[in-house]
Amino acid sequence: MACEGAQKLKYGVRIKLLDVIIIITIAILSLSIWLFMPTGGETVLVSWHGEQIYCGSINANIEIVTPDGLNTISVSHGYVYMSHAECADKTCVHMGSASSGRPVVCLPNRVIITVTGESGVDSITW
Amino acid sequence: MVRHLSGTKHTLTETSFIAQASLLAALAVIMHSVEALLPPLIAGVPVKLGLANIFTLLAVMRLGNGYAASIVVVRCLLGTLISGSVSSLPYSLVGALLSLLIMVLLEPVRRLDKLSPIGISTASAFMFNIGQLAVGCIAVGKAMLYYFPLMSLFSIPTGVFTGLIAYYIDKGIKNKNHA
Repeated sequence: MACEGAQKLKYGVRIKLLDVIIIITIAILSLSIWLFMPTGGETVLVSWHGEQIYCGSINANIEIVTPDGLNTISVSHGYVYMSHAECADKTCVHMGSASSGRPVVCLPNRVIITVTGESGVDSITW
Repeated sequence: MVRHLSGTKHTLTETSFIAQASLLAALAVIMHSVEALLPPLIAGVPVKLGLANIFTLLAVMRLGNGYAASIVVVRCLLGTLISGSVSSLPYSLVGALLSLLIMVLLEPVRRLDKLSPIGISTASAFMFNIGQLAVGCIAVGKAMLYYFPLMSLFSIPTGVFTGLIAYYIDKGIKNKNHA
């Protein structure tokens, strides 16, 4: 039984202009929202060797030095990060700014920076 | 009873439509259930490869809006039953209905040959994610919106992929006497 009605498949989709417009619109939409997204979380909590040494708002501009002087935490412009640390690998400095759900920790010196706020959800599953 | 698909020269009987619709619905249910078993492609972001939307798109392209809507509803209900988590029902239902809506709206543009299935499929993947985010915001709160940029960026390659598959399936189906 010969396939007399078979069409020869030409490979390749003719992409129309409107397709590209749609794709670029979606890309621009998502990227622009990404840039303007807030970090989430209002309260900064710094704990050193298990005890709280600082609790304040994320919108303050302040520098906190731990009692042993080994770590410096900077709070400025809505971000909080470890600006200086005397530890072996400086992972805490490279972690960048803390956000709710992602604290910045210096394990050798036992310093933890956490951010808590209204968005108390860390991850969602269903 | 004979129906004419607008834009084609072929006549198809109603039973042929019903048979095609049930085939597409079955395939969509399979895709939905299998995808529900896979882990998300990026850890933490609940984006799936929306392969079940291929069949919704095929239904809109070949069978019409009514059949496509019924395929969407059937796929969501049966997929929920098979995958076992009822809490995924509102997410997939709202997302699939929104993506069906955008497919239906863009279909006349496609008939005018100004749009290919890839564009429709990308737009529908985007709307699917918007539907999921909307239900997520109602369920969980504003925190869900943090997923939006990553999810919508990720909807572009999945939409293109789904659109390509739908395009090739539609091209490959012989349209002669018994579609």
